[in-house]
Amino acid sequence: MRTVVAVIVVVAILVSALWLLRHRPTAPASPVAGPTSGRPAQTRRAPEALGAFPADFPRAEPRQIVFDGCPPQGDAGDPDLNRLKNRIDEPDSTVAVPLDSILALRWPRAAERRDRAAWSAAVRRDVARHEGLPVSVTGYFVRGRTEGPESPNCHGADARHRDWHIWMTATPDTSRLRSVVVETTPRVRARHPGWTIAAVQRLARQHRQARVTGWLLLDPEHPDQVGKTRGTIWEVHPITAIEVLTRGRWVPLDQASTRER
Amino acid sequence: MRKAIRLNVVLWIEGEQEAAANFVKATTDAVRDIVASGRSSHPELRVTVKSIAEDESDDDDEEEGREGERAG
Repeated sequence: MRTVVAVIVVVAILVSALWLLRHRPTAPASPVAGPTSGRPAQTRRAPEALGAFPADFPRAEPRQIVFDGCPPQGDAGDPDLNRLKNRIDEPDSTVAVPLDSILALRWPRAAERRDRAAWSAAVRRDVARHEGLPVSVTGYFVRGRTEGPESPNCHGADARHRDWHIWMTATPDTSRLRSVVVETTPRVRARHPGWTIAAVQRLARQHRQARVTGWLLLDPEHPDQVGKTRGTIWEVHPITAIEVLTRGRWVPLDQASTRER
Repeated sequence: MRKAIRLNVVLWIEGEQEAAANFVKATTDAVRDIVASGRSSHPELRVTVKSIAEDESDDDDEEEGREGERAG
């Protein structure tokens, strides 16, 4: 009789352990050591960062549209960068990467504040190793904001024609100095009426875990902000999907309730 | 005493334009014209435009809902 009870207890423990393993929330990755500022063209490689990103993941050709009269290249600035920001295609498959792996990515300093047409072949090759990867990243929104008028959006004045800047961190109490900027664009948001900046801001206040899917992009325009308000100039831009962890399941933001509790 | 100063001026400009038209060039040209036409109101000063460029600073420290102040 005692043996039977012992067996039942052991089985119960094993079943509980298996259930916990299947349903635990995604744990944030431990930070990868290393500086987050730009590097010269001969970039040192962080093995941990490269390990998170597959070497030969196929790159999709960006699909673009004219949006409310605004062409993919925008109305000014770097037309090549604007075309990448304005892509509307959604990835068929994605690479789940820890947020800290994006923070650990390097970039050539020669890419900063330069139009892509002015990049050398070596700089283009260096950036192309990771840019354009379809990634999904899990973390926490710490802040969300509607940006000002910009050239990719033809300097549209109203909110419908502006990007959202969202700062994402591995844990809800991580400083923005260790954040990755992820951005929604007007073109993609047009397909997601349930995405509102108010909902994004509520997620930040509520410290709810979020998962964003989108295209990895090097935005060379704000290196001065690294170490001040962000951890890197690598971005997920544009975001193609936003999900919220709700009772152990990932629910699209379009359907998730973010009402204040 | 002869004096000199370098001023930074931040302008918020709105207007109607075809979406694909270069708003940066249009507004840059307009500001040069405005400064040039306004010089006569202060003939005691010699105003030289050193540079006009879009303010692309991220201003990430600004609070949410940043909007420019309307002039006038």
